[in-house]
Amino acid sequence: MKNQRCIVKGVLLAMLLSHGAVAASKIDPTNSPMWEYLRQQYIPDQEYKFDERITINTPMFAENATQVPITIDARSIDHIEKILLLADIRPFQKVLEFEPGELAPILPFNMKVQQATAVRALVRTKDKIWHVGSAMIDASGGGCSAPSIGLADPAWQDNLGQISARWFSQSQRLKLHIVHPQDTGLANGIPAFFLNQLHITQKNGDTMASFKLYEPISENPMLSLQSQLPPKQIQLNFRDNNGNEFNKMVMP
Amino acid sequence: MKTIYSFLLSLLSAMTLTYAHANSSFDYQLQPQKIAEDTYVYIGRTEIFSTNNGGNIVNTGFIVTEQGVVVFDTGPSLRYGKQLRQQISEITNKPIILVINSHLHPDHFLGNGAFSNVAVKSSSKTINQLQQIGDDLATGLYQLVGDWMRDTEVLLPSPVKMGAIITTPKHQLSILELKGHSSSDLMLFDAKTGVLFTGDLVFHDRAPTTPHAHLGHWIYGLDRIIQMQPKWIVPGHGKATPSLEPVFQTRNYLTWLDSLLTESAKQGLHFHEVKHALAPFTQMQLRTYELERSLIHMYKDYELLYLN
Repeated sequence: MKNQRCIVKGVLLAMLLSHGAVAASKIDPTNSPMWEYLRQQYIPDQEYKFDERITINTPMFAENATQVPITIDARSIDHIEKILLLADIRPFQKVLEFEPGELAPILPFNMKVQQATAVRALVRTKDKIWHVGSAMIDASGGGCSAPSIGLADPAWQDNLGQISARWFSQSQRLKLHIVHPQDTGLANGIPAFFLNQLHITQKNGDTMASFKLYEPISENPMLSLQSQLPPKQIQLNFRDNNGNEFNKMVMP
Repeated sequence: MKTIYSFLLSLLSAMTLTYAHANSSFDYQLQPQKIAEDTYVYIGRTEIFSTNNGGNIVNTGFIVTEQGVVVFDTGPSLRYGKQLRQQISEITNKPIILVINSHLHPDHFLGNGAFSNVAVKSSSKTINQLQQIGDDLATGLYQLVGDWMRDTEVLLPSPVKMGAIITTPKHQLSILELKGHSSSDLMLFDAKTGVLFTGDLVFHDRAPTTPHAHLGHWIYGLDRIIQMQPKWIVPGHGKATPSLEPVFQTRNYLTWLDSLLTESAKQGLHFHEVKHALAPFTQMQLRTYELERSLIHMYKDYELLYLN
């Protein structure tokens, strides 16, 4: 019995050690079948490593597959040029691209998921190395092929592109919300119609941050942008795939 | 290393198989609890849906009046409904004259199929909602509890008459409609015994669920229950008790939740910053889990209130 216990302990130790080795290597911590494919498609021949300093917060499970709250946090990494968020298993793998610029590299937002999947934050630093953070989302499915809820309301067009925003000085962030159906084109008879760009500039015209957005961003997106220096004035410019532009000025 | 892993894996799957086998009779092992004269309840587990509990996480019950049996909620599956009906027939030979569905959530009406030859009723609001999303709710439960659901289909209730329904020497039953947990929550009250079946307006030692909730309406509804001064509370989830304690507990939790969401939204916090808030209700099962669900259901609306 005692011997058996020792064996069990040994096995556990071996598993722990091998897990530790995995974290430092190029082996995908989520063991997703899609990682090699994603890597070849989005960062081919580029240097990368899995990096546990990047965290992706996900809910325990996707209670509502059309609104899954995610927070990417890469604040422990310096000299970030760009963050690319991908989801392994879904009709659209690209979720968003984010050049933090003057903003802190942390981003809470809601996305849709079609089924349980790994999500990846690929963070490129100035030395051109990609640091990859990973997390799993558990879901029973259906978030991408469902029509937007707002379209059921005949008045949706009246509010299209309406932006609400506010600077919260205590928590040093700008929270913003925009009314948009964010249709992926996968629901029967409803063409793709979604925001694909957000550009944020300061009063003097300098770019604060810019985003490319893709189909998986949830209907009526809510984003929270963090910045240590309270800006004097923030200009938000959204654009969608039909060429509509939506602008708003926010005074902190 | 690989062999050890596969050994562990096969051990795991062997355990799973044994476990599945233990469930193969799909017996919910319903145990009646007699809480008042002619009044029986079946208390489900305070857990989330799983293949282990087959969806028996809900309370059902019935009252045997001189005129016949009135059933309150039918459980999560056809199997549950059949086993409940079997229980009733072992306790009384009186006919079932009315089956009530308290609201639209699947654990409260999917046993209806076992009562297809008697009057199954609910509010017209609930009926409308079930017409729209009843099948989706059933599909969702299939995914969570598996074969326990076999042959379960949505059997729509017909509209119920509100107010007094049965008055006999021993019982005086009425049906009341409130809202807040969902947009229509029915309760069954026996003024003679003082027993109140609250449906999911009341949870006991189990965090309330909020997928269709309106906290303001819900709290108002709980105040109405307190005014009624019932002697026994049969909550939708958690133990039945001869006191108003579960009503106050639910009310305190909802008030706490409302102020948590309000304060967090005022500070500009996001979901993952709020989800670790600890509800000061240590006796409540699933409070971490339900808080996260409630945030997903409701927090965005609170956030919008504090944007310009």
